[in-house]
Amino acid sequence: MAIRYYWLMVAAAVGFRLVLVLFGGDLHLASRPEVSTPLTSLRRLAEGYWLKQASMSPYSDLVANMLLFIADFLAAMLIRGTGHRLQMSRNRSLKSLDLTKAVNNSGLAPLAAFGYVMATHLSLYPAILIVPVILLLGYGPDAPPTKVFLVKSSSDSKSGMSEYERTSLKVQRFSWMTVLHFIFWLFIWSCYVLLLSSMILKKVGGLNEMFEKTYGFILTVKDLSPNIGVLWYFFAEVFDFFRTFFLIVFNMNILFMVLPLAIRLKHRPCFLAFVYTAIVAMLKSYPSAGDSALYLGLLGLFANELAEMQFTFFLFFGYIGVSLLSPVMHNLWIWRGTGNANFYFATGLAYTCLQTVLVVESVGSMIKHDRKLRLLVTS
Amino acid sequence: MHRESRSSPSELQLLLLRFLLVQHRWAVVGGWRDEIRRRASQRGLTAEQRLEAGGPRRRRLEAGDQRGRAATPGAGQAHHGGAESRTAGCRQTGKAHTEATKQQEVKLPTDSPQNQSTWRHPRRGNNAALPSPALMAPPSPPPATTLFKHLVLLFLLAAAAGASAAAPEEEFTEELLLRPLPDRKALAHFYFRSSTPPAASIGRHHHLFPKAISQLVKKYHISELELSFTQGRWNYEQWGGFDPMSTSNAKPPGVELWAVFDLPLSEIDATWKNLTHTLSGLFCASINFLESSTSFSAPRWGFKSNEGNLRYGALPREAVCTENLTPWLKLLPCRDKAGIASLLYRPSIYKGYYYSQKLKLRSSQSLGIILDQTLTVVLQPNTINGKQLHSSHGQLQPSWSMRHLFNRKLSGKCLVSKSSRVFIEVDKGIVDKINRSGSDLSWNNEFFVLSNGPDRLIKDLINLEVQSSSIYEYDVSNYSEEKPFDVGITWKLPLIWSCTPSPFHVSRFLMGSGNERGSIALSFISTNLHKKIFGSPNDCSIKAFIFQIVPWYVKVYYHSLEIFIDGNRKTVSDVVDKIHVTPSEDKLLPGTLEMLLRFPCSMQSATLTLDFDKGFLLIDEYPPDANQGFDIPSALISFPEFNSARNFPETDPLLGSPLLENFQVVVKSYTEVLLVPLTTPDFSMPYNVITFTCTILALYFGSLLNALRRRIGEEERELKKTVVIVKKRSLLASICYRKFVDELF
Repeated sequence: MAIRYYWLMVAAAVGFRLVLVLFGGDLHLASRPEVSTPLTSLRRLAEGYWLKQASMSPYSDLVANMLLFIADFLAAMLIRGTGHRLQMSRNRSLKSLDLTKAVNNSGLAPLAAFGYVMATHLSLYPAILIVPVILLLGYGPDAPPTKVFLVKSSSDSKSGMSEYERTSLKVQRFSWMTVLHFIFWLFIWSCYVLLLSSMILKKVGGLNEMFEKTYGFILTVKDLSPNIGVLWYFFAEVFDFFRTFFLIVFNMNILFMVLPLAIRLKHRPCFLAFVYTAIVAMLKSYPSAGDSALYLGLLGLFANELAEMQFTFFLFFGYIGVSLLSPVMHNLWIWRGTGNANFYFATGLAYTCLQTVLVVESVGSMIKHDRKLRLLVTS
Repeated sequence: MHRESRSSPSELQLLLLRFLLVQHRWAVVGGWRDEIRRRASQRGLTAEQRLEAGGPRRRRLEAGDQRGRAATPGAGQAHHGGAESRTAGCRQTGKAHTEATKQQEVKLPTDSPQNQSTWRHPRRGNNAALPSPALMAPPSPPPATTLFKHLVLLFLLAAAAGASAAAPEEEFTEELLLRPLPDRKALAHFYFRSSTPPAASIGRHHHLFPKAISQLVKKYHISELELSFTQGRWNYEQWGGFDPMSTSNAKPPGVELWAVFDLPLSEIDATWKNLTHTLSGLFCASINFLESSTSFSAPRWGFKSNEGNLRYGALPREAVCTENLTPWLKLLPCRDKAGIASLLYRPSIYKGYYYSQKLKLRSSQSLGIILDQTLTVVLQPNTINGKQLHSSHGQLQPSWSMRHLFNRKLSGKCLVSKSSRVFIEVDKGIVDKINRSGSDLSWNNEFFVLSNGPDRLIKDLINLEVQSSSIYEYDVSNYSEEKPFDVGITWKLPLIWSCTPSPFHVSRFLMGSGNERGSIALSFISTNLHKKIFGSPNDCSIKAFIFQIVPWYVKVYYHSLEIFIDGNRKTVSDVVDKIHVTPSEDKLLPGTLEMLLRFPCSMQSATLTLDFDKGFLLIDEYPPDANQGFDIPSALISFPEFNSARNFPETDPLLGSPLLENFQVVVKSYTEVLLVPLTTPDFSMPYNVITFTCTILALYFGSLLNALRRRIGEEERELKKTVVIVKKRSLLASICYRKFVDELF
């Protein structure tokens, strides 16, 4: 189905980016809490690069690290000239799309493995995407549940369809070979990346320091500067003796839902990937607007399946409201000193709420959609 | 024996001897007492008998001591004020006495073996020598005690004579320098130096040198240490920035501590932590806050060149008051009971504009330990006629004397001091004017008159040096209680002069608004001093070291360093010769910046800016007054090519003067302390934040699990219900409600 005014919209989007690049200087987008987190800040990258040039340990400055440098370099190569604002998020989105598209098109396991390893290496959270990737390789792209096919095939055999149609509807088997191929390449690529990192960092601290200062920094929420999430304020306020407990709880919460979702949605790996990215964007330690951009972009892929989703009006205007209010509250608190941290935290809370509703609603309606398919097939 | 070999001990030695005797009286008696108790218990004597045996002996010794004290009134009273009160208590029981002795821990190391040996051979000891007349015992004492006492005195004499003949002694000198300042204030600089020869020659025992300090040095292997407590800010423009007084005694507000250790590098951090705790206890200050690794750093060359064994820490907000001065005074042999330190009347010195008390230690195998204690105050003199004159133009400077500055007169010196002197220094500006007017630099000249005629006039050599002040010296040992010393200056003509400034006036300030980010700016404004010193070659350059520590919550982006010279932006490599940065780590390390800059001589002003982000702290990490802001310690700027050394050829070569010889330092100046406001969270919110966040998390977890868990049968039933609803519209409302509830949970 062709979208009307497609090229017009593309041109408008590119134009908007250009406007931001050219006239966005006054907005200080590079240091806005919405788009720049401690992990993705360009200033910290520059500082890390400067320290590296001066041959000091880049990890001394906690967050400005080599990995970011590589990431930004790649991003720059990929989307040269598009400016600062969505560099990191786009980088990620490109990667993830690469990852899924590459597999979609030709089952290029090595490339998928490379994309996966790099994404994990850069920001840790994509690690859970291994589940949808394996499912995707095993079962192929999104399809209605196997039960539907079974029912269909049985009904077809009754009605006596042609042999060709029957094979096309045949239940897909889990293709172990592709998955093993992927895991093999996954292993090779991760060894390769770790080896390269250790070679680069040999003089200034080694791999241990890298893990400690990158993944450790992500998992222990050490930087308490405000962002659009809720965890920064939570960990700034929480009593010190509860800190470890809550760190475990929040990090485990991302993992808790991986298995139930994978069981229930195993026939829809792409949608599973979308749900995972949404959950990660909601619960990660340093969220930014780029994370939401990724899953909101992916949301469009399931327009047909999620057509019956509820609360869309509420969600749409909720997102708009939060994105308008959040900068205002931030300004009042940080710059004018008339507001207070609670106001800004409240917008973060509302934002998390919205994301929760979005995830729950989309999963619910996807399941409902599958049910409807089955009902349609059986009836 | 030494006693016989030395026919006539000099008066000084006799004095020392008396002092020694006073010092060790109780140690010796304690030693006796122990010995007597041991012997007595061997012989089966009762406690009462033992006490009686010790009684007369002690009383006689006290008599001798009284005589000694009469001869040295100041020293005896000041230094052994505590001993006297102990004596009263000790008269009660022998046990209490020995305990007190143990507490004091001043037993001579060679004491008891000597005693024991003499006890065993009474005859040989008895005819050895006669005690000196001052220590002569009263007639007809019991034979055993006389014998014992004589032996001990003999031993003491021998030891004292031996010490005075051979090894260098512990010394103490006290000095005070007074100086009128151009802005109608007066500077007073107290300087006390105690020194002890290397440990091997003297053992663990000290006469004058504070034991706490020597223990500290030995325990932590300190080769250099400086600790300063400062209140107020040195006014570099008015009070001078070039002369040794300001370069070595202008200190940053609060506490500054640095130490060089003679230890392997791996042990230094642990030793530093212990040292901070020890000093904290010793000086009644929260120096122990320097223990945490976020508050000290190890500069390489920006502060003082070293091999990684130097640690530096500063507490800019530490309040300094009398509770820090009292322990500091305790390190002096006369405390503030006698000598120059007796001028330190608290209400007078703490109402000044600047107060800095410093302790500097140097220790080495060859030198022993040298402890320099200085106290610098800038006071507003209470003018003699009682009215304060605020405009300096065309008006007389306020005349003042020591009595007006301190509310005290000086009644003689601290008797154990080697020299005790008071200097009055007049600035080069005044000297130049006097020279220009044609009159001589006597103490009574055209412009001012000193209340007393000085013992000596010391002129600073003018060759090559900018500063050439002159100093009037007074020897305090010529004065006594009956004839107290008070010197003052009375101005005859109005005089305006200025102190020599440092090559650049350096100031530091914050730029930017809001609580997210900002910049630190360092501005240098040339005073054109180099033209006066080196002439004015145009292609020359001036070096400047910058040393700055920044706490971790001020996250400086060192790549954002920008340098503007005379308003024009320069590339960093043009100006920065050398740079060393230790980036900060959150809650672990402060950032340290060391830079060597090279400014062209023709430059009039330079500005350096560094951007930073403000950090966000945990709720527990904020101090009680979180909204006041956080202090960034002063930066130190030093100009290695400018040396404020001065020569005083007319100083007494015999006595020397630590105060004047110390006038050899590189010109350096400290910048202001910066106050950075940081954002605060709502301190009353912890429970709310925890409950809100956890509620949302539970909502997410529960509803998602619910959506996944919903069984097919259930849904079918629901679907059927929906069909029913379409048919039976009357139930619509209630079903909608149920569905809503289902959706929600």
